[in-house]
Amino acid sequence: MTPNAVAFYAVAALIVLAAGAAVGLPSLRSAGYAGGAVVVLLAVLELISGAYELAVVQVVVPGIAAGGVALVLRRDAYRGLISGPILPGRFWIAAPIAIGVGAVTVVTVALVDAGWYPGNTLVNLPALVQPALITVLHYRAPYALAIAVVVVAVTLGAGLVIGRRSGDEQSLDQLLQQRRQREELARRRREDREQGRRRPARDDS
Amino acid sequence: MTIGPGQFAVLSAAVFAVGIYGVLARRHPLGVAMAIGLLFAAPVVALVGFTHAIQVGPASGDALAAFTIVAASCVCSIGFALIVLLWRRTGRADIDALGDLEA
Repeated sequence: MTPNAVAFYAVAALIVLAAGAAVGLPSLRSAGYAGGAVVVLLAVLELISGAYELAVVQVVVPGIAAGGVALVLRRDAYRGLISGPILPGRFWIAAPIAIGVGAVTVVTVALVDAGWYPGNTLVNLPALVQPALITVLHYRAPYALAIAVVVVAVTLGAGLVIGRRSGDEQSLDQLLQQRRQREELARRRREDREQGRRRPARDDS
Repeated sequence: MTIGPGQFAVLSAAVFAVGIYGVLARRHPLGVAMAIGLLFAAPVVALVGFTHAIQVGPASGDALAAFTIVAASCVCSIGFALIVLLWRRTGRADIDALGDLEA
């Protein structure tokens, strides 16, 4: 289904704006919202192009991943990760490279335009080759689905192994926690002693 | 005025360029992970255009695009696990902190 021109250009402009906000906004929280907007706008683009199933995948899969990230970031130990100091960006390096790459790719694909049409290749192939190629294309979807399931399973395992706290780290955290509690207790006792010394001095005066 | 694969390809290139800017400019690892997500989104746009702006054959590009979306989510998830590990080890949220890590 060929998308409506007005809808396509409107969504395309919004995608580029949201993508720019996702990489340009100094606040990570705002950048995260902009990244979410990019995902939703991509799903809208797929909807107006007729890729309905893909639009669902586009929202659901990154949504699950983002939900997992949000759950981890809600924990006290990782709050500083998102609210840390804003670091200055290296835009003087990034901007010329991005503009160069963007200019080359945009000009190239704009010049190719109708040359992307792959049907010519398929149609012009000999009759013997064509059914085989169509069969491969037809069965690509189940293979992609099976590989995607394997990739997700491996990612879950690897993510848990990488992100989990080891026994050493847990015992170190406990020791640090006990040390902080001891220091807090000592500080309170010191303050109490100092207050106790000040009171008789006030009574004498 | 009709929309062809060329328009989708131009949009894909623009998104890719923005993603490259983010990867190079951002110093916070979460920002870099988001920019990498944009790099993965660019081919999805192109695949949708090539598949649906051309009325030929089965929509096999959708399968590839779906796989790309899953792969992007997996890559970003693994990246986030590494970021959490970096945060625990160094207490810093800076790409440059990777250089301070010991084997």
